[in-house]
Amino acid sequence: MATLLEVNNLRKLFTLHILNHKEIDALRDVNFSIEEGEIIGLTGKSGSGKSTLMKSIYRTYLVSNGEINYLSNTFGLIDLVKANEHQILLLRQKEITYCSQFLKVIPRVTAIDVVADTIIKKESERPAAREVALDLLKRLGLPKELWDAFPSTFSGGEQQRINIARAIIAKPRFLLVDEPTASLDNKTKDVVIDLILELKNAGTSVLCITHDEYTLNKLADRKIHLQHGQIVEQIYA
Amino acid sequence: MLNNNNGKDWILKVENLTKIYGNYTDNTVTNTGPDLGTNICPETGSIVACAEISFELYPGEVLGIVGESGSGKSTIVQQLFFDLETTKGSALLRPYNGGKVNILEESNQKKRYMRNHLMGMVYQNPRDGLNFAFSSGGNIAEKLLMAGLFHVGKIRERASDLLSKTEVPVERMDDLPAYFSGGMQQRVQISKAIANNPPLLFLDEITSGLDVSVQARVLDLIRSLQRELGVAMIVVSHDLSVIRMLTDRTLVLKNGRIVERGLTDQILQDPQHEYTQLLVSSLL
Repeated sequence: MATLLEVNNLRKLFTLHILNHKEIDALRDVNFSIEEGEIIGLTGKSGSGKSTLMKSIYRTYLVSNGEINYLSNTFGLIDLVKANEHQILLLRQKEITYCSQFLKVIPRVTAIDVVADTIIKKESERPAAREVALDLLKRLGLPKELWDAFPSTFSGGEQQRINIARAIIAKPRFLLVDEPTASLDNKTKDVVIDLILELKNAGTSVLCITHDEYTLNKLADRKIHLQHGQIVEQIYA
Repeated sequence: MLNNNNGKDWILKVENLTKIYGNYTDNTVTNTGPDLGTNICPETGSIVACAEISFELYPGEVLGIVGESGSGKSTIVQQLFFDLETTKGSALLRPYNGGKVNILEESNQKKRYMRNHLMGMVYQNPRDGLNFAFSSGGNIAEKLLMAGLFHVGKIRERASDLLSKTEVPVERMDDLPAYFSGGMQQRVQISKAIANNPPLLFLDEITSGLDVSVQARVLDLIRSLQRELGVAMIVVSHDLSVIRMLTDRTLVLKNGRIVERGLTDQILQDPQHEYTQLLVSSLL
C-alpha cells in the first residue's frame, strides 16, 4: 500500500492581532503519515491540537511551517500547504472530505436534500441522489418524519447523523472526521462505525478524532496521541 | 508538484483596478490605504474608492467580497459592470475576444453588448435593476430584447419559465414590480439578471434589505441557479453568513484595498490580517 499523506515538521502558531499580537502555539514538530486504506485514531485532551491538525490538513487553517504531502488522484503528489486555492477546492470536491462536529447548512433546505446536495452537480441528478441519501438516513436511524424537515431544529444526535451522512455519501478517498460518534446512542454508534469501515474496505483512508474508547478500538489501525500540540505516542492496534 | 488546474482557466482577470474621485497625483494611492487607515488623500483631498485590486475568477466559481461600508466592495463590481468609469487598471473577460482586450477601455456600444450578452447584475435595491414602469414580465423581456430575442411568444415563454424558477407566481407576470413585496421584487430582479444566461453574474448586497425568511429563500435560489447554470459569480456582502453559505473564495477589503484573500472557510476560521480578525470576532 502506498502512503497517502505524509506530514513533516508541521507547526501552527496563531497570532491574535486584536489581542496585542498574542501568540498561541497550537502544533509543533508534528510528523506522521497515513497509508492508503488506513484508519488513524487521533486522541488527546481538549486543546491538545487534534482539530487544529485536522483543519490544517484541510487547509481551513494556514500552517506556519512544514509540509503536508498528499498523493492525489487529480494532481499526483501535492503539498497541501503550498497548493493554490483552486487546487484545494478541486481536491475537496473530488477526494478529501471533512466532517466537523457541528452542522452548518443553508437554512430551509430539507435533511434529505442537505445530504443529497453533496453529490449532485445538476438538478437532474437530484432524484437518484435523494435515493442514496434516503438509504443512508434510514441506516443511520433518522426518524422518517425528519427526512423532509429542516436540520437546524434537530437535536445534537440527529444533526450529527446528517453530518456523517453528508461526509460518507461522496465516498471520499480521504476522510477527516471529528468525533463521529459523540452524542449518539450505542446502536447508531455501531452503524456509523460500520459505515466508516465499509469506506475503508473500499480503499478510503481516515483520520478520526475521538474520545470514545469503544469507537477507537473498533476503528483505528493506529492511534496517535497528541499532548500540548505535539505527538507523544503512536500505537499500532 | 504539478500545477494542473484540470483544464480550467480564468473567465475574468482583473488587474490593478483603481477608482479615484477628484483630482489626484502620483502619491494619492500611496498616501491612502488600510495601513494609514484612510481612503482620503491628505494632499489632494481626493477619495480612493478602490486601488490596486487584482484577482481571477474561474468558470462556475463563486467569489465573495467582504468589508465594511465604504470599503470599496460595490465600486469594484460597478466598474466591472460598466456602471462606473475606471480610473486605472484592466479587466479581461474570456468569452469576449478570447480575453485579450481590456474590457474597461472598450466603446460604449461594445460595453452594452457585453452587459446584454455576457453579464448580469443584481443590485441591493430592486429599483436599480428593474424598470418600475414595466411589468415584471416586461422587465425580463427588456433584457431578452437587448440580447437579441425578438419573438414575442418565445419571450413570454422564457419569462414565465424564469419567474417560476425564481418562485414568482407566473399569474403576476403582467403586474408592476411596485405592487410586489421586497423579496419578490428581488426575485424578479434575479430572473432579469439571468435571463440571457450570462456566464458571469454580479450580486451586490442582494439580501441586505430582506427579512430572514426571505433571505433564506433567495440564498437557496442563488445556490441552485449556480449549480444548475454553472455561472461564475461575484458576491458582494458585508454579511459574513451570506459569504459563508455562498462562496468558495473570499477577498477582504479595507479602505479600498484587498487586505486578505483565501478560501472562505480559512478566512472565517483562521483570519490572518488584523482587520479580518476583528471582523470575524465581531460576528454575532
